[in-house]
Amino acid sequence: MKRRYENRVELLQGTLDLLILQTLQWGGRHGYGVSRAIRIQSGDALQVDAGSLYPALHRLERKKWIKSEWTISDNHQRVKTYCLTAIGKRQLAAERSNWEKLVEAMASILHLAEKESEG
Amino acid sequence: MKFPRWRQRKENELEAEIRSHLDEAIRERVERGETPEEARANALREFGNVGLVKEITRQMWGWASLDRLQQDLKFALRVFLKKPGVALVAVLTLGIGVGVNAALFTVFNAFVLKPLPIQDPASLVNLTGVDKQGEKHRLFSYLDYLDLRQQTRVFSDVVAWNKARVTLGDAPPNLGDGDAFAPGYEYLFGQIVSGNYFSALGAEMALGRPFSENEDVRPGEHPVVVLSHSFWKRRFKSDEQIIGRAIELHGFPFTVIGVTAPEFIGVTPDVPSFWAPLMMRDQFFQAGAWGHGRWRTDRSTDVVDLLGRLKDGFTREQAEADTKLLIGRLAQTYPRDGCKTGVRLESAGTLTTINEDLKPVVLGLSLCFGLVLLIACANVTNLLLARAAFRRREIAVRLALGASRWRVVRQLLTESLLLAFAGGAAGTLLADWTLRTLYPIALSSVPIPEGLSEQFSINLSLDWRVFGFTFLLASAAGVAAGLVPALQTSKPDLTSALKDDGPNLGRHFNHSRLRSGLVVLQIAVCLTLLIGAGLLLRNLRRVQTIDTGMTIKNVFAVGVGVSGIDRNNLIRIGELRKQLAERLRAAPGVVSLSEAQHQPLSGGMGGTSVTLPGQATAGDLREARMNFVSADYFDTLNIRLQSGRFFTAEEDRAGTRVVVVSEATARHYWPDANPVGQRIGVGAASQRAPTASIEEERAASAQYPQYTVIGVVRDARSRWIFQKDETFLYLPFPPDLHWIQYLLVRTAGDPTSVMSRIREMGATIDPAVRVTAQRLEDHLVVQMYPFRALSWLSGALGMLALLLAAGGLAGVMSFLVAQRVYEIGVRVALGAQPKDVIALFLKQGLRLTLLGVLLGWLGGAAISRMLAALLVDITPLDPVAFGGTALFLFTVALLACWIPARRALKVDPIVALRAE
Repeated sequence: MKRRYENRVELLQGTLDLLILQTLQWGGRHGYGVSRAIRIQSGDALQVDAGSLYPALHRLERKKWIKSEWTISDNHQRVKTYCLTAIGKRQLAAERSNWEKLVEAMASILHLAEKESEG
Repeated sequence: MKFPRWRQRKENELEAEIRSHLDEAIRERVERGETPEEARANALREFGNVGLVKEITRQMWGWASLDRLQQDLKFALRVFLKKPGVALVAVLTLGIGVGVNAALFTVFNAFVLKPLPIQDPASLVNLTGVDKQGEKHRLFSYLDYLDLRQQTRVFSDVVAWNKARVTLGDAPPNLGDGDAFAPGYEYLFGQIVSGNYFSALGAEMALGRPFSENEDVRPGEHPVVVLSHSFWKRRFKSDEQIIGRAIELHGFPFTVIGVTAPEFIGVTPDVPSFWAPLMMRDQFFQAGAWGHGRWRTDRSTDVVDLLGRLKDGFTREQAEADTKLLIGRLAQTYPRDGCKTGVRLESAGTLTTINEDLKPVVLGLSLCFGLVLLIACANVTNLLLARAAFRRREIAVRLALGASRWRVVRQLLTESLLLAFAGGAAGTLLADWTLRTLYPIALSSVPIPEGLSEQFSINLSLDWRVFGFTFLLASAAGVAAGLVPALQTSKPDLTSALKDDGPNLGRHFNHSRLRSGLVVLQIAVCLTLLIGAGLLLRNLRRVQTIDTGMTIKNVFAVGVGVSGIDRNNLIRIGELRKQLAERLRAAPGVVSLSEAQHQPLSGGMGGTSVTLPGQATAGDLREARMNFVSADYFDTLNIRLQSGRFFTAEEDRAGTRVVVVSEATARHYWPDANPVGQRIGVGAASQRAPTASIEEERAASAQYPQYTVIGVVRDARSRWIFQKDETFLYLPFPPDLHWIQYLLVRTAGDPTSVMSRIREMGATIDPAVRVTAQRLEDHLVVQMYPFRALSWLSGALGMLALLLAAGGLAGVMSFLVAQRVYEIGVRVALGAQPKDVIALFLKQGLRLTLLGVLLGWLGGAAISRMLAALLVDITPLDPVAFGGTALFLFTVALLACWIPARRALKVDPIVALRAE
């Protein structure tokens, strides 16, 4: 059981980190808020389960990319809110450009493959 | 499970975070129209396993390894509690192995590492002079001290000190070369120190004040003394009124001006009883003693040890280079025979420093002690392997359930480390207890004067260095003992381990080669140590029975002195000695009596420059050992004549220039000629004061009195039991020359009764006569002490090694027996006799022993090479030591195999076969 979760965290790690940082870009959110934002913004395509989310949040916090504080939510509940640190912001920019490069590279390869199969 | 508080907080936060997550999810679902029950169930399902999420989130905190360690420790404890016997044996074994090393380190720590309780110990250095030949000289002359102190650029202060042995009360009669203790006097061991001693070392006073520079300027002017705290407590019962009181030291009144604080113990292991100004030296070292009267003006009279306080910013190397230049300049300005041309600086911040002389000793000792630990580790490895064989199923199950191999190895290593730390703790206690018990015994066994042994203060208390060392050693031992079993056991060979159910015929032998190898190693190491011990024991026996070339049994030396005004009147002493000699000669039981300037085997002996006319160019000086003796000396000590003749009573004190030489001397000087009739110039007989330089001595050598060799006697060991005299000249006493000298008396039987009457004999001649009597055999006790101590130490170590190795062998044998119960059952069922069964195991055990012995002989050859320098007349490959110890080891091994093998006989074939 444990192994399955661990594998998945590893598989998603780079992407999940980027997604979390991205959702926190415009202000702090609590854990559930982050997962909801990812789900809604991806049009329900991406569902982050708690077994990946919380380890990722705690790991990013330990790396000092995000920081947390206890606040009162809109529903008057005490929640742990995460927000980006200065390092986190820099990291987000770097990860984004990495991601775009990767997407570009993948696309050009896939595009080439398409052309080849056409030709 | 108990968490630290910060950990608990984090845990609570995680809990709250997850709860708020679920609350939000439920609220959202309710808003979407689900019933609260549905919402809760769905939210929980969506979330997944709460415990698991927590678990992997926790891992992100970076404490996962701590958590696992805690699990491992708990599990390890459970394992040990289940089989406490195995754990106990392992802890004890490691305890002995670590303990002996901890004890050795504690001693090392006390001497070499612990800083002395003085101000800024790190910048204090000891100066040792080095002459042109590279010989070291601890002592410096007073004039050199003054120059060094004045001209140095690297020391902020230079302190001079020297040991002084004095009597409390009246000065003792002059009895000899300073080694004898006059009966009826209380001797104190103190120091004379320069006036800056206390300020330079930062000594605190419990009472009164220290003496100052001003009180150490003119000789004899300030008879003041500072007492050490321990001496004040012991001798004056901590009398607070002591300050200002006068005490008589060596017949001279001194005023007590201070008592040091209890922490201050000076810079030597033997805490001085008192400190007096250097300028009081002549009061302690009286007429006839080394340097008396001339020590302040003669540059070749070395009388003081020197300590230097490094100036800020100077390293020891820089200071050494600079001081060397300074000493070199002094040597050029005042050239003299054997003068110092260089200097060595060693840290004086601890009792000792490890120099080149000590390094091999320390290395050799650590090696031997380390080998005992090695045997202990091998024992524990074997124990763990044996246990692992019974735990294979447990471990296979864990591996099958998905534990990684590393995880299992770590678990097993945790177990062995736990054992090792328990062993380390036990070892530390053991070491502490042993040292506490042995220290007073060891100290009392050292042949030193009683007053001196009371002053020894070696701080053997445990400190962080000892704990740190023990911790590291225990960790290393734990890993060393546990790594191989852990790797072996965790080998992923699941199917076979899971399938079989317990020990069976011919299986499980995969470990046994390793285990046999370990036993062989243990036996080899053990034999190596035993051979070392055997050699040293043989050496001791050899020294005890060595032929000294003379008979010293029932011979005693008598020193004669006078108390009072005539203390240094050598003519008067000579007369009294003559009278005593006559009475002694007439005493019943006395068979021979003679006189000698030095008593043999006391370590001290005369030396002289000699010239050999016609053989070398004039002025070619040689050194020879010598003694002035009376004609009966050869008879008293039964020294055999080889050729020529002894000198006669008529030639004694008659100015006849005849000499008797030893065989070795004859071979040395006249290898191709008949020594009898040869001539030799003897410097010591020229009756002049020693010359200041080698050039002067060369010039004077032309005037050396020429002696004719009249006889050659057998070689003897006149100075040290372990050293044959290379050269030895026996010269008759010159006329009209008076020295302190000894009477040597041989009795027919035990000399005790004559010795007990001797003081009274002296008193009837003159009440002022003081007499000492000492058996020559007593000197041997002193000389043999190092040999005895070494053989005790090595013997104890060897026995410990044997105990451990025998235990290891027995352990392996009983394991083999336990594993082969089924096989034994089959054999017995098929008609094997008890002796066949026993032979089966004995053969196996002895084969291992034989292999170990062969390897051990190789180790023994190596260790004997290390010991070669200590051996007296024994070849390093002594067959008795090598053969005897091997035989002894074989006997013990036989026993160690036989006891467990006997258990095999108790095997009931029916039970054994049914057990499968």
